[in-house]
Amino acid sequence: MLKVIDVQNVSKNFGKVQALKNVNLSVNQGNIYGFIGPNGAGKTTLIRVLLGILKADDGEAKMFGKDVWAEAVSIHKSIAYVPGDVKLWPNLTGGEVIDILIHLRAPQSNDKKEALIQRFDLDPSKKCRSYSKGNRQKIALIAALASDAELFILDEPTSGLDPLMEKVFQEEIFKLKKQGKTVFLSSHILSEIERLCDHVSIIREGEIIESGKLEDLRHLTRTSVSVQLKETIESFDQLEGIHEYRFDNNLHSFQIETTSLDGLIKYLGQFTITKFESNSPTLEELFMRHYQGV
Amino acid sequence: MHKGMFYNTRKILKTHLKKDRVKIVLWVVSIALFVVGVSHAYPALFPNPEELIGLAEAMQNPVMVAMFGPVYDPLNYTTAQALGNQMLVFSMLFSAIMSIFVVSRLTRGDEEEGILELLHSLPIGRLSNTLATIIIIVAMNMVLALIIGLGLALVPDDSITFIGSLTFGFSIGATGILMAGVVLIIAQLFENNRTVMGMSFLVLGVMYILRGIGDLSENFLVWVMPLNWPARVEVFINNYNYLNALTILFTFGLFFIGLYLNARRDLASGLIAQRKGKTVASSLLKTPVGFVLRLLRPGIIAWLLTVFILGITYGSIFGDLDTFIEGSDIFEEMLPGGDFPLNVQFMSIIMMVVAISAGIGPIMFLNRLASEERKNHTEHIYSKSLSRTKMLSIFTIIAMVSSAVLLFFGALGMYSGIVASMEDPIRAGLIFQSGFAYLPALLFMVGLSVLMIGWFPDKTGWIWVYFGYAFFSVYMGNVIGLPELFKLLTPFGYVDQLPIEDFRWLPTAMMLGISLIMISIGFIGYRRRDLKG
Repeated sequence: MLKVIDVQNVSKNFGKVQALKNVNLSVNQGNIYGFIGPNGAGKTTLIRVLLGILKADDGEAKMFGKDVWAEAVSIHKSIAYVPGDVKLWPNLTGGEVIDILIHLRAPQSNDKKEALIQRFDLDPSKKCRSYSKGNRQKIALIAALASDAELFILDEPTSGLDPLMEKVFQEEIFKLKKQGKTVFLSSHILSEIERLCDHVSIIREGEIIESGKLEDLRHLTRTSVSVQLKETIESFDQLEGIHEYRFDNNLHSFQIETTSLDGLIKYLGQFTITKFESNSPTLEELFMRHYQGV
Repeated sequence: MHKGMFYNTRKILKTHLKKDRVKIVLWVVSIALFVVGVSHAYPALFPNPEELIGLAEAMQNPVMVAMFGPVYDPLNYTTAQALGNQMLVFSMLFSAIMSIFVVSRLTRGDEEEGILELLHSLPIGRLSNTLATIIIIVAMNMVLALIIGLGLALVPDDSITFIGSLTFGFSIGATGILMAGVVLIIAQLFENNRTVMGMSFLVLGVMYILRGIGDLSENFLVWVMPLNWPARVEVFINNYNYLNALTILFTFGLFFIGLYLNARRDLASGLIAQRKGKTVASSLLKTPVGFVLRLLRPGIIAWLLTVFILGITYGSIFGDLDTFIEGSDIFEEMLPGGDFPLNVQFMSIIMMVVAISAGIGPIMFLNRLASEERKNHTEHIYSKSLSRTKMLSIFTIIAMVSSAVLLFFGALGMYSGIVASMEDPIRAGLIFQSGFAYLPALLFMVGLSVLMIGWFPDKTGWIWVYFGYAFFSVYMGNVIGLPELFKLLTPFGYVDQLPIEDFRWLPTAMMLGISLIMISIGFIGYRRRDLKG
């Protein structure tokens, strides 16, 4: 499969601060790739390296097989980008900025633009200085989505949008997925990543600490289970992979590593189960565990 | 006005003083040091009375009156009078500029960036920030006035009296306070700080020019501009301090109007409402060049007008110049000589001021690229298929072309003024020749600016210090007799004053060569460095 983004051992320092440490990451064509991390973890720095705005101190970063620094201009013909903090020219109108952004990338006739302006419910006649954060974000999103790029790099694209607009955004991403486009989506909103992405990388303090398919990562997570049995039994917290076991009011509640589920089911098979509840693992827990350094 | 409008002003005041203390001190100290420093050189500049009498005559020439104000007592021209005559109006501009920067930053600047919104969510009165700003700028100007007053009093010269020194200081302080009032009102009218600063400088420029015309014609225009009140205190002669008091009183009226307007309007809006804009971009705006031109459009128009008006203003003085020069021996000694009529010689000197003013424009346009970067605007551009080289090329070419265009407009303005005022006007060819002689120097500054953007994007503001020095060395250099060496530190010192001096190829070629080298180095830096966003 064609690697749209291929980052190998990239490091970037700002003075003494190491913003990126040996980052490796690859995104295949057609992936909807989630890039998660807390504020200041290095998400935007990596994106700016990919865009050729910052120069990596070490390592190699390529998009479409081309070097991101040396061949920035030709790469940029095939990408659309939405910055995390959208700052626009205060004395131009929203409509003008959308046109400018579309045409600076590659002059094209555009039929999608009008529909997107409608869908995102934007008034393009106002000057940019009077738009709210959400509306500025809409402008950047409309300009990106209206372009026929191959790769969409979106840096926290929904942070200023209301839930309705977030939904419109998600629908647009699914459309891109159907068309076989690649999306690189950075976010700290986990539900968004879970809903949209098929691959995920987690970055913390400039290092990629987890990377892979979403379902593969779920194996690292724990499922929380609560069981009620007819029989009164001893606690089974000695079973493999069980954590935070509590017995209360005849209810066994605990967390279990996803890989140990089989053992649990076999063990419970000898009893009569009156109630069984399990909550599927969420990225949230994975994330919290990583960030709390557990 | 409602109760609590000024609640917690003291806290806001403390916050501003704490966060801006370095800026505040730097402004006051640098202006005071400059004014006091230059003043201390005066007794040595004109050691004997004959020189002072000669100077008095020179200062009565209309060009000098328009720039520096009238000579009040030419028969008893002392060192102190020379100082007041040559330095006061010039120094007043410094405190005015200080007020423009400080007031616009603390009011509209903070408001535009949403800082005021945050402050207003706290238990703080609606006008507290504005009042705190007024207190700060008034205090800054008063301190500046006192330092300059006391500093001047220490100049070892009998004619420089204590009361005169204080008056000199107060005139500078009063001007700063006056300008603060003007800026405060302008800040209520427009939504963005760039417009507020632009309009403030425009108002200052208009007031300065009208005051010059007033001083020349000695009609009602003398008094119609409040800027001229502190200038006409007849410092070191009559020390009419009531004029300074009047200025401050007038300014308190302005402050009151500003506060009133501020209380009436919504936060983050201006009293001059915005029109509904276009929903699509024109086909020109969609091209990179068209886009950059659009970004620079307000600046380009404003600067073309400024240079043109400056040219007209100076040009229109030439009518009076003719009658004045006749029969004045002193002038013939002062001027560089040669076979040209005196008015042509004057023209070539005045052209220097117009040319340096023209040179400010291209640097403003270039520095916009650096400020676009600081504002995270360039990441939109460079994530598109547009290279850094191309973007910097567009800006550089615009700066180079505008250098020529601005010189043309300056010379055209001067020519128009001269044609309108002189019976036997100077030939157009001579005027344009004189103007275009500055093109290599302007291109040198463009080169320096590109170099800064390429390698020191955080320090692009320093070029204004260099410009300020260039302006000072040629504007004041002739008057206070600065040694030639000081002028040679800027490219403007190498320009041949056509037509009275001969054109030399070597300095021209050197300036162009160095400019090209600096541009190349700047491009290398810009292509290689990290961008901020």
